[in-house]
Amino acid sequence: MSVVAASRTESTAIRWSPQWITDRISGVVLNIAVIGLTVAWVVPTAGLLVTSFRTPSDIANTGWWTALSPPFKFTLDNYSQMLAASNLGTGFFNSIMISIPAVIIPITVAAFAAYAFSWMRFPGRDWIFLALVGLLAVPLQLTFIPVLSAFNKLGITPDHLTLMGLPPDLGLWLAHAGYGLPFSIYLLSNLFRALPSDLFESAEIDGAGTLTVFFRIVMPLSVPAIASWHLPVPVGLERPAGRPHVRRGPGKRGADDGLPRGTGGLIRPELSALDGSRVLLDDRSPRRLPQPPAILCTRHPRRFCEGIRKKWLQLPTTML
Amino acid sequence: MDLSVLLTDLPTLVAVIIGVPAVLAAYIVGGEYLVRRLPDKWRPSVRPWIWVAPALALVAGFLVVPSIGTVITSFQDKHGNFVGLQNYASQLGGFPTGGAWIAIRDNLYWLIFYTLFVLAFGLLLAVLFDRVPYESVVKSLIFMPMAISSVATVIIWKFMYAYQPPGQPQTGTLNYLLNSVFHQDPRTWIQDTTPLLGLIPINNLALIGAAVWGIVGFSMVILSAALKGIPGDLLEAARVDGAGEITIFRRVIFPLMMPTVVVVGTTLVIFALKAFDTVYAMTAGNYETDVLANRMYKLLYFSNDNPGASAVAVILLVTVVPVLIFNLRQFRAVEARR
Repeated sequence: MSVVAASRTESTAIRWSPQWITDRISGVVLNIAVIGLTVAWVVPTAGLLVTSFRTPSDIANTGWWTALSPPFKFTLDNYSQMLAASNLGTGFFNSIMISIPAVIIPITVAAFAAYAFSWMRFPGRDWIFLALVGLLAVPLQLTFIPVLSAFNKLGITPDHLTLMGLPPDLGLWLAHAGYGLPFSIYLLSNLFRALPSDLFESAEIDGAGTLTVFFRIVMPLSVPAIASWHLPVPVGLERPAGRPHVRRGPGKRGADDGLPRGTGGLIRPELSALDGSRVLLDDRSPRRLPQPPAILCTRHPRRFCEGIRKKWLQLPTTML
Repeated sequence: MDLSVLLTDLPTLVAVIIGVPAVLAAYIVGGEYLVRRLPDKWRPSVRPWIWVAPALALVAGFLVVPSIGTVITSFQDKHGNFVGLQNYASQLGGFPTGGAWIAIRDNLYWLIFYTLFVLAFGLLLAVLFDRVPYESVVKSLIFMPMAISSVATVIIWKFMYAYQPPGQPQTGTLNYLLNSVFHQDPRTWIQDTTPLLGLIPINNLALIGAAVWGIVGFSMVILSAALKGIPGDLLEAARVDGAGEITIFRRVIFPLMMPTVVVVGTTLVIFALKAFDTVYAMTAGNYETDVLANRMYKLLYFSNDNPGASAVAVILLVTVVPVLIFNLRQFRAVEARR
């Protein structure tokens, strides 16, 4: 903690001396800059929040800031309309159906691989790992066309999968897992490698098998990092909005039904009154279930922010 | 809201939540069971492959093989005949405004300005916030847009950029400020291709601005963590030696943060090259704001031009290659020191 304390400059100058006055002025300037920047950053979101409580005609004719002065004419209509929309339930259901396995599969598969990469010896280990790291930079767009045609050829479409008695979203889950893996393996390998080797040695002496070590030592120790894992995932890998679209093709039943990015609604130049409330209601988009890391950061500051910090601090000593 | 679908499909949901982890656990437990049946000397050489196999299969199936497939398609016509570089010629012909050139130009804008702005703002906010007692509050507020999906970010910024003809009350925040504070005519932010200071068309800057707003929290958090990792003694010693705050930043803080800045920078370069969602949702690539990823998407779905789309994807890959090599070299240098 001394680090933080030392980096703050406390004025030690005598009251009303020129030094004291300069320190005071720079302190005021600093606070104004900090608050000014923060307010500027919040304005767009605040504008949206206010807009979502206004009537369509108001939105079309006056700016959102005019709503903040009397006469107040706020309305909940936008929200009730959105909630009444019949496909919202389907949208939520699809979101859950897709995002839970799409998070569980890559984490588990990556943990298996990361364990092998960090604590087992096998020929070509370092080269394979390096190749995985290299794949981090490959644009996903490069893979969409062949994956889509392969899915169609192999019958990995929702309808066909249902016919075969398999989960209809299986293709989506696997694709999400495949795309997310290089990053997760990289992240978890760093984490596992940092565990002290004594742990493994004493476990071995006590006769613990590979599975026991993995499930009883490695996994529990990595839970905080894995819990905060969802943050870099949406940041780095889950952001592209095109994915479900690409996988299913436009117009098919998708995770996005009822969610805020139907092409028609977004690209048309005029803004609909509903856009605002739609974002606020279901901005947690399909592939990001444990969505709001900002809230987690504020509510469980230690665990989540520390997790993020520790994880990303390793990066300088390794790389992306 | 129609919640009945949630209730009727609840068993499916439960089956999925229990079934998926069960299948994965069964795989690894089953694999270990088989390994233990093997003769002693085989075990160490078989076991690792059991553990990495699912990951390698998924990565091969979704990244490696499809990428190779795309490269091959880019040399073929729509019927699978080899046509050499013809697809590239049609994408890269017509310099400077035909084919993919507008998209390449705009990707370059993204590469430079997006990376620069995100790093600069992230660093500025991290350094400023470190000096105030209410740091965690302001940090959370700046971080908030990270929780909003990028398409929602676009909706938010469409409200910011909204345009009404001069003389009418402005509904967009930026045009309102421009009009009432600076007494200028409102601008059509996302359509205006006039270059700003001769550097970058205003609409490209507007798109990049929206994306920057959404991601700065990410660079701020990481850079701030690096800043806190700088030992206090160093700063103290510099102050005792009479260094001013700006000198300390330039000579002590910044060099020590450099490795983190490089890491965040390369990540952002990759984000910039892959830029898609903001452009797709804000302008769909119209008004000369196209980027390679969006162009590929359009060729694929609106023109049904698989070979052309593949060629664009390969061009995108080629632009990423230098970053890839840089990353691998950094990585190996660090691994060598372990």
